[in-house]
Amino acid sequence: MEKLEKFIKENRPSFDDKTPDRSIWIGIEQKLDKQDSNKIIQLRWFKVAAGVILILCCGILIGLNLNNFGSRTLNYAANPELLKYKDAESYYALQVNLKYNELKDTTVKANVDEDLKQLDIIYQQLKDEMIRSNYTNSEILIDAMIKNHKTKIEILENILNKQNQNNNENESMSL
Amino acid sequence: MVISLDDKNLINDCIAGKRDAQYQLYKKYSKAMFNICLRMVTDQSEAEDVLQNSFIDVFAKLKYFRFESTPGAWIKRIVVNNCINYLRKSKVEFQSADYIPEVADTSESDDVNFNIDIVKKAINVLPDGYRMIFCLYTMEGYDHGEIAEILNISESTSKSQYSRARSKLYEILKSNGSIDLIYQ
Repeated sequence: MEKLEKFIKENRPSFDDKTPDRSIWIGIEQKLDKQDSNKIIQLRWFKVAAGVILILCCGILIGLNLNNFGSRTLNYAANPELLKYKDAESYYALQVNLKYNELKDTTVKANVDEDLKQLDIIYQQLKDEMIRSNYTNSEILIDAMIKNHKTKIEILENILNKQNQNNNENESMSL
Repeated sequence: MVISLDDKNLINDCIAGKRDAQYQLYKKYSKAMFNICLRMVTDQSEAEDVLQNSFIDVFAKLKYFRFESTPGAWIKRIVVNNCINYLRKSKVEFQSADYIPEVADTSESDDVNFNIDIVKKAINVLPDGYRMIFCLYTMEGYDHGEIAEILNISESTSKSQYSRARSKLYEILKSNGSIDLIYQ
């Protein structure tokens, strides 16, 4: 190493002999404070904006839910599966009504009413689930609804078969 | 390169915006950085401005510090870049390596007596371009490859400029009697 470089290297710390004035840190601190307060203001605006959006979302959701709970009816236009099901539903409802009207015995009728009421509750739950899931699981739910109708019809058919058998027996006895 | 846990904690606290941590970091490095600014920029109040802006930059960029070098080396690079930007604004140009002017014979005879004050003053009166390269190489310990990258010049330009800078410095030192006159 040459003389000059050697001299500088050996005395390197002595070359850093000046100390910065205290006012330099004060200036830095002021700038940092200003940056921080800008950030806080930005954050505040962000919070206000987020709050407004949250309130709007809540409003929309509450509005939707009120609508749903108010009527608790299905929006059949929500998807094509459900639209197809609409016709099936009225067909099954008609079948249930027709078969129910064929019932004669009042005690039998009372028992059937109890069973049908249970099935109606389950049916309403399926509808609610359909609305709550925003019509995403409609296929499974529609299957369950159809089974529900078919169960009603089965129950009624079983009773009507027995009723008819009894009638036949009565007729044959009276003959 | 090992970075102490204290340094890591200090830096993380600075990133989190803790003012006392930021002051600790400033206190630790400001003196060395201020002397770099003074040597490179030479004017005291300009050096103070560069130092102040450099630390603002340091705190803004600290979240990008990847611990690939020591915090000191990383901060120094920011300071050096800011000094160079300042000098560039005042139109410092580097002559390309193929132009090498005649430099007076500067054989290192024994009649040159080094003295810290005199060497400091001599560095201070070097032309800006020479002073930048001389300081980066001798005082700050960058090699010519690094200087080439910092100043965006070729490595051979850095080498030739350095050799001319030190010749010029010897010239000034040999007539150190007149240097004292400059400063009186």
